[in-house]
Amino acid sequence: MLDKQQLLRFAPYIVLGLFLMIVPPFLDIAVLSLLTKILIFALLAMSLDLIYGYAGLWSFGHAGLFGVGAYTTGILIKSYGITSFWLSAPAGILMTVLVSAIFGLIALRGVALYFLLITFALGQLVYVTAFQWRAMTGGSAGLLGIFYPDLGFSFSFSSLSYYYFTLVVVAICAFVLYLITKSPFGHSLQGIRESETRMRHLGYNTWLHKYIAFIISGLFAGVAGVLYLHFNGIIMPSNANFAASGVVMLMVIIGGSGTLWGAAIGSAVLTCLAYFISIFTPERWPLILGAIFVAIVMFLRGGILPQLRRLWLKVSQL
Amino acid sequence: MSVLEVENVSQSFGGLKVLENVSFRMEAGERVALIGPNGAGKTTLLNVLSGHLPCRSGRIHLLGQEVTHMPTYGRISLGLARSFQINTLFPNLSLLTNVVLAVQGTKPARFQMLRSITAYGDNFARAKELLELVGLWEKRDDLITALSHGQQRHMEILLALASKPKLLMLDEPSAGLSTSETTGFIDMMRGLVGGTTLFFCAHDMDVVFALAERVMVLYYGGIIAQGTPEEIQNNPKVREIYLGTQAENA
Repeated sequence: MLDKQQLLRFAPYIVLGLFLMIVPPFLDIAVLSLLTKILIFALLAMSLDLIYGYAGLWSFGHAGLFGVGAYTTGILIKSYGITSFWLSAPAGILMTVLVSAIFGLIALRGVALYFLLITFALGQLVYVTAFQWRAMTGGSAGLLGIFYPDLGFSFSFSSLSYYYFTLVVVAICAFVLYLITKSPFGHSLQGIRESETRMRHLGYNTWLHKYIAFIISGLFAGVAGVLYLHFNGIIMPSNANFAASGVVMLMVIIGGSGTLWGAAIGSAVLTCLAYFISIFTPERWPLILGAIFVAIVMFLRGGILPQLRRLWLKVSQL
Repeated sequence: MSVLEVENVSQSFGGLKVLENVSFRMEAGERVALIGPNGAGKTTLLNVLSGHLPCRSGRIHLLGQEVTHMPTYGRISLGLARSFQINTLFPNLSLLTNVVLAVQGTKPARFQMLRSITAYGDNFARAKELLELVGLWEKRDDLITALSHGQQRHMEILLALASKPKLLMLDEPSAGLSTSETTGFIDMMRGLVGGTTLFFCAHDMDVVFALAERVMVLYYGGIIAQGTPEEIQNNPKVREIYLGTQAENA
């Protein structure tokens, strides 16, 4: 049984979980859609954190993988008329896994900044393909007219039920990612981040560990891409470019890299800010984002989550 | 069967020849020290033997198997382990995690993704045993960065010992320790190493005499002398390298 101490420790998580489950039916549709978006980007950011925060691989092309998942599913629906979610979604995710496996082979030849530059280029490759291959992707206008997924039985999604669908999928994925970070494999990734030389000398095939992590990360980015496609109804090349990758990376850094849940907090903070600030001054959003990033790096070292944890620990011990 | 057999290993960085036709062998249970002045190629030799640097010419056999071009992790799974002259630990992980990572390195569990690391009780038991050997069990939840340099040197050797190696290679185990620290360190080393086949390089002659049965002298990339510690101590050529000739000293 949980004792009082443990209850206090987990209280914030329980409150958050209850909020996500109970409150949405009473929310305005705009807020509901904001919440759905937060969940989807939380998954994308957490998938990046597995390689960025845990393995220390600075991937700068994560939105590209997200785009592969979204575009593959979208093209199957629009160009090939495969409307069943049970076919189009797994196909999109599988394609993301395949592309990750190829990108990983190329990118893992480099380390640190070189890895970053290669993933940057590979991400842009997805972006340019989406931009140029008009017949399939719709070019700069994007692939539009995608509806909520068709699950087969006579059930059609509303924005509320799609929110719950997203919540369940993201929760399952987040739980699997959590298990991975707590496993021997997840700890090995941290070891590689801290000292790859030492890990090799302890008997680890570090390349293989990094490669597997890169593919797993791609898989969850693909899931996020498919969720986003059906949520947004449209996928554009700009969803897959380096600016989008940069935002995901900022979510990880701002929330606290190497903490998994921090990435979700980063998603909540940046998605909310983007939403509210662009209502008032759309053109100044990047400027404000930059200022926030600098402030967090300077004043909240390690990101928001580690600081929140410290604060909660103090409060709960009073 | 020899534990280690090195035949004509050479290595150069650009035009600089660092190792030239190094050959030697080691039998099970032996404790061999590698000495030589700065820049003699001691660490380079260790790096080639552990696979950290590619071996460009010559052949290396480990426990009867050719490992000349085998990646590091393969040599480790055969039974090799090494430590580093410059602390190469996992600074932002706890002591316990450091050791557990070392213990699971040669086990299939290292690829397990969906079970918690704490489910592997025997890895933790082994880690506890090791940390208790150097008196750091109480500090198991501290980060490496919280340890003194001397304690980090202990961890350096502990990580190498975790896999119960058949050949243990230590690079300057007492690097950076003061004279008074070294005395305690030597006693601890004796206990830790036990009957393990040991190959180590060192500057500190106290460490060499305390631990080695056989000493090899590396000078400008070649082994110029080997023998018992006493023989090496009285070898005129070695004395010349370390102390200089009379003409130079004059």
